[in-house]
Parts: sequence; C-alpha cells; structure tokens
Amino acid sequence: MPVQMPMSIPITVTLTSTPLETIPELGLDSELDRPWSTTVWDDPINLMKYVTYVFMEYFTFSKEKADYLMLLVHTEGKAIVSTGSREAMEKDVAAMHTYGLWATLSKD
Amino acid sequence: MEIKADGEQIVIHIEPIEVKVLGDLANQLLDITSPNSEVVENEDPLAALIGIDSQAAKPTDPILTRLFPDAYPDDPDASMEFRRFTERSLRDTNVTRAKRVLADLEGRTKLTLNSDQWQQWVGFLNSLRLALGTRLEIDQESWNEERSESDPLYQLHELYDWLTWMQETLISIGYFGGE
Repeated sequence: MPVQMPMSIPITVTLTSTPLETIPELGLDSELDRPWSTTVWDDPINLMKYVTYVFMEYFTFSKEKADYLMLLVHTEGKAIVSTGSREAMEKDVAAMHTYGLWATLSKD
Repeated sequence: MEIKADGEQIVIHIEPIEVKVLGDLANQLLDITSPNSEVVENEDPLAALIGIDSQAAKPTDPILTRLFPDAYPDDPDASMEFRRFTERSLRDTNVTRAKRVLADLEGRTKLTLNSDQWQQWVGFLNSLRLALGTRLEIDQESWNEERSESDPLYQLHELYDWLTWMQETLISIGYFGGE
C-alpha cells in the first residue's frame, strides 16, 4: 500500500527566484556566508584563571589560545570564542551560561 | 581552611564555622535557583519531561538576570525562546551543585574531592560569587578597593574575598598544577 504524503506538507512548493538563504525556515543562511558567533563578555566577578579553565575545558583550546582569548575579553571587553551555525552557537552559549560566563550569540 | 592536592584528589581541611557558612550559602543558592514551585505545579508535564520551561519569564532580580542571562543581546523574542529551552536545565545544574556541596560538607572537617566533585565545587563557588558579587555591586573599580570595618557591607566583602580565594585555589591546584 502506498504511503500517502501527509496533508500538512504544502502541495505547491514554489521554487521561485527567492534566494534560498532568505527563507528562514530552511535555516540555510546560518551555514552559508554569514555564520553566527558566540561572544563572551567581560565581567568583574569571573576570575581570569577560571575563564581560561572554561575555554580549555569546553572548547579544548590550548592553554596559550585560552589565555589569549581570556585576555582579549578582559582588555577589549569581549571576544568571539566560536563561530558556526545558529544551532551550534546556541549550544555553546548555553554551555557558557552553565559555567557562569556571560555569553551571547549574534550574526555579525 | 587549607586546600591541597593529594594525588588525583583535592583535600580540604575545613573549620566547623566554615562548614556552617558554606552550608548556609549553599542553601540560599538552592532557594534562589530552584525552579519556582508554584510554576512547576501548573506546567505542562510533557514539556517539563524534555526540559522545556513552558512558563519561562525573564527574571527581574539582578542576581537571577546574571545567573540566567539573555542569549540574544538585541532580540527579546529569541532570548525568551532560548530561555524556554535552556533555563530549566541551567537551574537544575545549579541545584545539583549546591546539593553536592551540602552532601560533601555534612558533618565533616576534612573533605576529599574527586575530579567530578571538584568540578561541581568550582561551579558552585562561581555561581555563589556571581550572586554575592552582583548583590555587592562589584565592578571593575570596586573589586579591589580597601574598605573600612565600619562599612555595613564590610563582612560581606570579606566573605566574597574568601570565596574568591577558595575558588582560585581550587582551580590552581586542581587544574593548573598549583600555578
């Protein structure tokens, strides 16, 4: 017996000239030219050593890279610590929040 | 309090008064990070099962705003959606850590932490310092300034400094080989 297509899928899928990356439902834009990024912001409470530890532990960065990014956060007020799809950045931001770091994601 | 490494483990010698202070603070952190009990009674059970908070709302208390920050700086709707999917688990993590610390402290003067316990203690101390530091309005200028003993917040600042020392020492010894 043939499996019927669920009625919830629209029959009229129009592949117009609309560029794929402007159709938000497909979520393709995040994978294309403008990736999302995770920013960690400076705050006066988190210890420098703790921030380095978090970057090494979660992102598996080397001590040198983790220290560099930690100092960037400290001196510049913020640093981009990862880039990628929106979903991946939401995962990273949630992880940073679990560690107590102040992190946000954005499409720059 | 004395903190030192013993092989793969961390040994903490702790005074009874320190056990009491840390225990009180752990209970307070437990109170403010536990999911709101009224909300829990009315929530969608299926959503709760998979960790979605059907009644998430942006906190108004600055401590909770700091512990559970917005994920999208310029998009309140996306931040709320993110909160619905993550805040419950973030609260649960904080509750688990505080309960771990309370269990470790129970009637002891010597604690031996394995790497899992160490991680939970470091996370617990971080949340605690975020909460207390936010309450004390610690900022880039004030974190290191001298305070007089007549300052009404003097003791809280002393407490904050002690927690800072403890977290810093645990990280140095437990992660950076004493550096």
